[in-house]
Amino acid sequence: MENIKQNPVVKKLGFNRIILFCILLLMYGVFSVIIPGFASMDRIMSILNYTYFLGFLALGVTFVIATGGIDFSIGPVMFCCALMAGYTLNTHGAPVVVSLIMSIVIGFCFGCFNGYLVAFVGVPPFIVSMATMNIAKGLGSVFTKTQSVSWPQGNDPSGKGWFRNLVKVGDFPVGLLIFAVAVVILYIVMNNTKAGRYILCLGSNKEAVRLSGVNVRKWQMLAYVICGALVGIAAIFFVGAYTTVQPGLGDTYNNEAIASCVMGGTSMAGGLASIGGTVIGVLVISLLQEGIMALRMTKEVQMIITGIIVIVFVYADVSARRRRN
Amino acid sequence: MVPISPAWRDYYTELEPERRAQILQRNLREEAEDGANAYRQRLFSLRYMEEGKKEPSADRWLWACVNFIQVYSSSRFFRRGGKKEVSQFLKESGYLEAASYGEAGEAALYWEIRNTAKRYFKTCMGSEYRRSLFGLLSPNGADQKKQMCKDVWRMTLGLEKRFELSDELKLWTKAVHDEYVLTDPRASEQLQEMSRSMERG
Repeated sequence: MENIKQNPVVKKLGFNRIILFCILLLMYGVFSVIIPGFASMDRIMSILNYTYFLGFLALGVTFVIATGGIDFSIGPVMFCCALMAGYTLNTHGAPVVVSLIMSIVIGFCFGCFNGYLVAFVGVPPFIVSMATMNIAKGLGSVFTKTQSVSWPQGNDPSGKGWFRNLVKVGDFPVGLLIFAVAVVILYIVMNNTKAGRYILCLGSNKEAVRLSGVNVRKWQMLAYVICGALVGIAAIFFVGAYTTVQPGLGDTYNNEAIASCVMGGTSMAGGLASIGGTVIGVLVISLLQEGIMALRMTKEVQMIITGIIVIVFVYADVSARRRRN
Repeated sequence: MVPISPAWRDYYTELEPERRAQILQRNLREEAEDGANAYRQRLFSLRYMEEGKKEPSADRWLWACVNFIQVYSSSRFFRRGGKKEVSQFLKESGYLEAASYGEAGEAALYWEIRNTAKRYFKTCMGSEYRRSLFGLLSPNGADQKKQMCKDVWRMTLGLEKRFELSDELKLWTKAVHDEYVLTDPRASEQLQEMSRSMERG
């Protein structure tokens, strides 16, 4: 095993990431064998649809976890963005572009709100994000008068369905290209910019960073703002793939996004984040969701399995740290 | 390493920049010149002073400690950038100028690094250091010490190994290790264990 770890290629790609990628391939292989037609193009597109929005959520929360914090409001905020922007589009006749921008702006505002409370007021991230989760659910419901919101279909006669081209055009997964570009940008931001370095250092030793003369509050808030904006983008991909959004929901996606981060190698203690690992984690979760659905298990069973996965990976992270220590 | 007089010992054990500035001025007036006083002043200025400010503020050397840990863990795709960052610090901090001040200069640099390491270790004793489970749990004393050991390895031996900077960082590593072993009776042993474990990957 040590020989494998010392291999230059393994070292370059990261041993844990390779293991996770093998798990992904294994899962795909198993599902393809036990579920007829699982390897079809439709299934792959369905997995990708789930990957886009969950990916943006997970990438956003990776920045927050890197600072040593957490954001449990990402799922409901994504729903709130989709509800408010969709309602404005349908009821007030706003142009689609305005609605899409509105979705990102709402996510950005939630990010600012969370970031301000955590960094400037000093409220623990856990409490802030739990409170924001309720605020987002409530706000979405109040704004839409507790009605679900349906975004226009691709063939909508009004021509407002063009935004679905962001997800796919015919059988071509445009969303995959956009997601890949976003991953590359976020990878560079995290690993090769001043902002990314400050965010990681904050998770590593906040007090030392403060004494070094770095504006700790500003950079801590930035992590939440990046997360908020990415949640707004996630909302666009969610409605691009699934059309209807119901108020009061969204919390199940928190677990999935956080599980993706943790299984990808982002440390729950902060100071260590892996954008590439998060992407593989997202693919694992998306594949699992699709597999469970193809096995005709109910949504409730999916939730149980996802919950168990979160526990397993969080436990693995904690025990790996204990072992290393 | 070179011993220091009690007056300079005060200077190198003090962690607050304002208080250090006062001790430095006092020692420059009262202590005998050993050939490194100008270098000490320069190190102080490069470490704390900012343009347009009269009082010492940011601690750039402390930032190097935190940053080196991240540079060690940074992406393999930006390896060259990491090495450049370390070299830039060595150049801009006055680290590379020590040799031109002779033995006294090297001693001044050694003790300045120890002072930085001491300040870093002090920050590791606080409740904010490495809170686990998304910041919910405070680490216990044992966890803090283990994490601190890992930090020390990364900012010294890890960095040397990863960027092939053994010669350049020799004094940095020695000074940080010398300060670290004073934090705990088992520190030296823990550091050796950590080295073995990290080298195994």
